[in-house]
Amino acid sequence: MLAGVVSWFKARVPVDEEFLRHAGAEPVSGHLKRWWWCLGGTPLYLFLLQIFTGIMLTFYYTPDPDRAWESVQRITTEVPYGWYLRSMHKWAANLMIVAVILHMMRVFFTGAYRKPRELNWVIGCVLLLLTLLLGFTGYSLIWEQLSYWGITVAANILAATPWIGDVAADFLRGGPEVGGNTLTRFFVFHIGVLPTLLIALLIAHLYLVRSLGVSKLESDRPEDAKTFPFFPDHVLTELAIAAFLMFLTTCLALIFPVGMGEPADPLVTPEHIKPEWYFFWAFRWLKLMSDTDAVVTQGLFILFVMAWPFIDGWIRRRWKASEISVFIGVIVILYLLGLTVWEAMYLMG
Amino acid sequence: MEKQNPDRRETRRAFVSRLVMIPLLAASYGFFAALVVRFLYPGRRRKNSRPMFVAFADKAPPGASQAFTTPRGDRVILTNTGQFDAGKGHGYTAFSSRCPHLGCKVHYDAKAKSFICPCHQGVFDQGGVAVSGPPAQAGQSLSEYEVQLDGNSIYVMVEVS
Repeated sequence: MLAGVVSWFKARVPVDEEFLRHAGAEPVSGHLKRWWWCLGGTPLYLFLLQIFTGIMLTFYYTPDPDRAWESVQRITTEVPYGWYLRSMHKWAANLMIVAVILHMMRVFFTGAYRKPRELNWVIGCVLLLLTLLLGFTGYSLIWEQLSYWGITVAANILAATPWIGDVAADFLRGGPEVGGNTLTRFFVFHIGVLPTLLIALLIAHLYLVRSLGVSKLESDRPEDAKTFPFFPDHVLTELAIAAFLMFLTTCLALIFPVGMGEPADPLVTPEHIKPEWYFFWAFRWLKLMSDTDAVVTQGLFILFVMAWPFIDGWIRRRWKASEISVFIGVIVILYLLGLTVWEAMYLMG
Repeated sequence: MEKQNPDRRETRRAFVSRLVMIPLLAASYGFFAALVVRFLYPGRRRKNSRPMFVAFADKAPPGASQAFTTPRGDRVILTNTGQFDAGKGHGYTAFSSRCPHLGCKVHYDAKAKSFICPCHQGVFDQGGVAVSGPPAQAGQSLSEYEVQLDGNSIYVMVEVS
């Protein structure tokens, strides 16, 4: 019976099983047994969890300024386990950003972005930006005071961009003011545009990881020189990570469940508008100079980070095998960390 | 003592971890899936109904009826039919006063021992079943509420929120 079904499908969906077996058993470097080298799979799993919990939340969410806040409240307080799925969605988002940053640091400090993997670093940077934008648009959908005024501030910052600022801000808001059009747009960005872009780039990212192979680690440990098959060994490692992430997000959801802020009120600006922690650095940066200077310097900074593999390549051709990247990396991290802590201390008073 | 073959030891270890890991993973994700199903079917949870005090039995002689409003705003008629129901332990009934035909208010006629809907002359017997008029043709009946008699106090089970 089963054999009949299998052969029916085999005749209609020809699959090269030999290729699949070969591709699945792809040897993976021994150093991937270390947890540090599994940080790429971590945001991937969290992203899958986000897609799932996000679809669940969309079943009850209403993207209408008059009803959005109430619908989120209903999810949080009335729908069975709505608080759990919403808390999970929030915590997985935060963990995803942490995981992407850690993954990026691992890639940076092991020099894994160097030739021929420069383009995958660029794709990775865009993936980080998309993750941050997903966080921002997601937070806005709750349509509470911080959402509303967060969008207002963000749109005004965007408007400070030279030449294209006003057009870009109007596009983001769907008009000159934050309102119904804005919420609809953020909803579409959050559940449609950004995830689609992220999935497309993720496929490119994984394709390049696979076709270029994982970078070689300079190591003295003999077990790092060995290889092991991707399936089932590495898949089991990733499954264990996935289980740990489910456990972690569940614990966070239980200990720190999400709450509700004040509903958005266009007439009352709250005393303290604070962004999520992952935008603290940018917020502090803004306070150090004029809006236009801040937007321009931040844009250049992001371009610099993205272009670093090419700059590094040029430096290493000029000064043989320079390891200045470690020095630059530490400075950039300390700079961003410093701005973040500074802003956090300021917001805490 | 015989030295263990390292390859063999590795295989056993892998086997045991699979043996433990796969059922545990299935159980965890299964539990998660169960929570998600509850999330998707919010209406499936048990209705939140409570007894509501309505009247004292000695003030409600056979044939008497009185109307009251539940916390959710439904108008209900409590009636003493005068006929002891051994299954229920009393002779009281409580029916929604909303006519199932078009939603008009029915009232209890003690002489006729029936509920009358004034809009289209719908008549319901003491059990709430339509006997004539449009509701009878459609086979409709009044929706019933559970009545509990506790000593001299009459309670009706009503839904709250």
